[in-house]
Amino acid sequence: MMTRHDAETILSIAVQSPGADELFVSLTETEITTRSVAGQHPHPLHHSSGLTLAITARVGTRYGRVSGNVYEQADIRALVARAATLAAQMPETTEVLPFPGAIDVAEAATYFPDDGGAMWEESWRGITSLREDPTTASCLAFGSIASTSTVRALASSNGLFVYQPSSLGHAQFRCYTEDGRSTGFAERFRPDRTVLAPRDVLRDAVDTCLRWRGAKEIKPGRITTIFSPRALADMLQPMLRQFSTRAIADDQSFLRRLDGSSFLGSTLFDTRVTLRSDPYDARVPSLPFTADGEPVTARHWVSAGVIAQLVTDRYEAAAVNRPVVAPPSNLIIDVADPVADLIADTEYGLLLHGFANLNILDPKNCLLTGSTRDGLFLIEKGRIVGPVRNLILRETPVYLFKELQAFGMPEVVSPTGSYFPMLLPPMKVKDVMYSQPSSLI
Amino acid sequence: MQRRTFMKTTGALGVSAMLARPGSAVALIPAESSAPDTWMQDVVEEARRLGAAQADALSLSHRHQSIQVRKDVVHGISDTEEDGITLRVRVGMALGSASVPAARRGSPKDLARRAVEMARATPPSIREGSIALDGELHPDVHVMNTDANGVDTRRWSTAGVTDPFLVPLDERIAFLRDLNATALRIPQIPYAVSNQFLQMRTTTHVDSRGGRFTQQQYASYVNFAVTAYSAQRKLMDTRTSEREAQSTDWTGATASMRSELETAMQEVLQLQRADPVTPDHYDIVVHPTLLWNILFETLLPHFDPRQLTGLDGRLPGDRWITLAQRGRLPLSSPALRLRWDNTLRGGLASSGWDDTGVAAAVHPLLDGSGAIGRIPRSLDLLLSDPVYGLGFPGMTFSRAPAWNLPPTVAMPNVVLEGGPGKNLDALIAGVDDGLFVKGRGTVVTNPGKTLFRVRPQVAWKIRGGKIVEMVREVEIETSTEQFWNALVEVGRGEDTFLGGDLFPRRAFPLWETPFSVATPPALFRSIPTYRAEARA
Repeated sequence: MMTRHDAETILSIAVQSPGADELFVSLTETEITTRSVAGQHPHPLHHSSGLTLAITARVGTRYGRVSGNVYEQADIRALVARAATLAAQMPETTEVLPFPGAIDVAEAATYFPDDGGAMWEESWRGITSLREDPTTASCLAFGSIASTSTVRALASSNGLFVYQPSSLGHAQFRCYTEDGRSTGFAERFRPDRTVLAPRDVLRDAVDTCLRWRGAKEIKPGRITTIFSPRALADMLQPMLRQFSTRAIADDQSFLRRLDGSSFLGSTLFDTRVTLRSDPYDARVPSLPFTADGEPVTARHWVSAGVIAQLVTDRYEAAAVNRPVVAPPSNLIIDVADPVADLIADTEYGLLLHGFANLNILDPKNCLLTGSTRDGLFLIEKGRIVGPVRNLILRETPVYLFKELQAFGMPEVVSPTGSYFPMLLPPMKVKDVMYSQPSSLI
Repeated sequence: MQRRTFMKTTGALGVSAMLARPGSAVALIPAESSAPDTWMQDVVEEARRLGAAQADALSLSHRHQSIQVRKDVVHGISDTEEDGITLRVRVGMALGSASVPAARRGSPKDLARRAVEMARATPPSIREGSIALDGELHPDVHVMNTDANGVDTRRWSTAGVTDPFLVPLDERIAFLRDLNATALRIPQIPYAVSNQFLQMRTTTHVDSRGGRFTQQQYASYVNFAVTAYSAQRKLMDTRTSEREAQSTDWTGATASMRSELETAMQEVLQLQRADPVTPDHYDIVVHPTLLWNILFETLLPHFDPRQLTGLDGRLPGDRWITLAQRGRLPLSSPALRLRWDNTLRGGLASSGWDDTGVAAAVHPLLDGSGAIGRIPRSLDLLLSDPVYGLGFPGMTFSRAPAWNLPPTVAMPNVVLEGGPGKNLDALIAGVDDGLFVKGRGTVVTNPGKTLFRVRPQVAWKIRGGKIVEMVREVEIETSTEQFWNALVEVGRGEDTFLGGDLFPRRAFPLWETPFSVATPPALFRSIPTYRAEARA
């Protein structure tokens, strides 16, 4: 792993190179070990170490950007020169803002040095037991396990320098029954790779796959639903992007009023809803600066149902003379009184584990649509009675937070397929809208 | 850290870095700075010392640059250059690999140790049958072409091609601007955009059996799109260039571009005056500028080796073609004869050897009898590849998708074999009532790639064996099986057009390395054709 000192050395060479009026340089060093699994067969382990320098040069009112994995002084300077050459060919821009200068950012606790080496043996044992167990031998498992260490550092010719090491373990598996009539999926991200437990992730995927066999069709409509934390994360990700002054100005946010102003300060959600972010929260540590070099600080986005904060980017902030508010790099829902068992008092409802896809139908109210997937179960009289065929959800997370009935115990999750650490509870919401059946397996 | 402190610190560090010397606190220069070839030999030998039965090292340097010019404005330029070395080892019956950036390669021992560690942490799972008794891999899996002394020091590069990156950037931008300006002189053409994509891929391979070679491949791709608008008819039509990405240089990529532009401008203006097609089943002569793309999007995915072997992660039962039916495919047209060909001039997958040292080859894919000839395979697929269990003949072809990934099975170039001598006019002459369609259009498929819809850029009505008029809004919608079984005649091989995708990752399955698809024109009987606008 590159030390702060080495990162400073490389970046200083870059930002002091001649040929541009201003320079902004991003350095990413990655050490990654990966194994993929296809049809229960583990592929060879591969280890890769990489380094990428991305250089943005401003020449007058023109910008040029290049990237390369160079390391030596002459190569770094050549890369800067190439960025300046490209800048000279680009059209002039009217929005010229100086690159950020020095900021005071403490390192977040995103790096755990133990690379979790035991996970490889453990994952192999998990796959072997899958093959040897007669109840799971016919399941086909596909997926991957990765152990990553990353250093991100940014610098500008205006004095910016930030450095953040991080680590991440990632395991994801999809399972199918041999006849292709049932599937299950599970995924886990953990900065502390010693607690990734890929074998458990594989087991979760297999369990969901086996439990969903023989799913029956039910009628779509408005149905009380318990969202798993991962399903909730998938729905919140597009909503978070709408907490932005630019999105509101572009009429791409549910937070825009008819007169063009925002709902900042208004109560839009149930008073039990508080959304906040904090890169220094030890449960979900995250990057304390953005890719643009802005500090990410602890913020409340929704406070007891009231819209409390909006992202304001550098250009927007300069235009309206307000401070920059960086977007969050994690998300936390604190729950004062979690309900231990959300299923127990559910008369009729669904337990929803995830989605195949979610698309925004209408950004003005953050209306989402997509098929459920990877475990949809019917609840009757306080217990799960069996799997049901997938449905097309047509709902907005705004509604979920207005009509929530109860929260469960929060757990660490991330939206499917991408790492954005969240501490979210399972959530029960009444009358969630399902517009039609889905034929998806 | 405050700005001034950082500038002071980094300034000092920068100076010390410039003066870096062995043993200094700031060591920007890697500890081992021997020539890359020697270093690669060392890393292979080190891996053998650490217990690897076999080892091969691949150094890969990749540069990519793209430029887009909209009207007369440069809209974007992207430029990346990366290089690194991957060492792959076999320890017993297990594989492992490790990669380092070339600029930070450090000591050969470190990379060798890391790769051997990876193999030792991998369960032994190469199939017994794939390893010959002497411990070497089966010859079909790994064949090095060595000289009399057992050493191969060969070189290969794209034939007759000069480095396109040597053409000055402003000269290339000026060419794109000029294309747009030519189109925009016509008042009915209000919009023109042109692009340039250049790629250079340089590899050096060194292996534990004395094999060594260096290859350099270039790909150059220049394209444009011109858009015409008729205020009177409220119609907007776009026509793009026909030449596709090829392994060629700047001169090769731009040679026919001005005449193509003239044709495109004439056709797009003519299209504005054309009447819509009448929906029907038509005999259709498909120009190769469209046919290669239909082949690429609809049929070739079914012959992807991972898909055929069930290792693509898709739902079981979702595959139209499986290995079990390899001798009796649902493809019955005797004219459908495809070959894999990595010797194809200009082919994006053409090379002297693949990235593991297997010489470029030509093999049948489909011979018109409804049986699969060979499918690509690779050493990593040996772990689970049912092809080997079935004793099915394969064609080894591995490429590394990037400098930091080991070689894996890849798609070779594919060629639709030419027929017995009919040119385009002769094919058209054989149609009494039909259509002639050309120009790459967007092919929309269902997830299983068994149904598709495509709108050719331009189409003409054929009557009595002659082209009579242009028609617009042609949309072909049919099943992959029905379409390819309707193939009755392929034009002569001399009229073969070289298509191909420089960014095949957009496709599914995820093809990570580029390959070409070459086709002559061809005649299809009774294809369901609709009017696009009416169906919208």
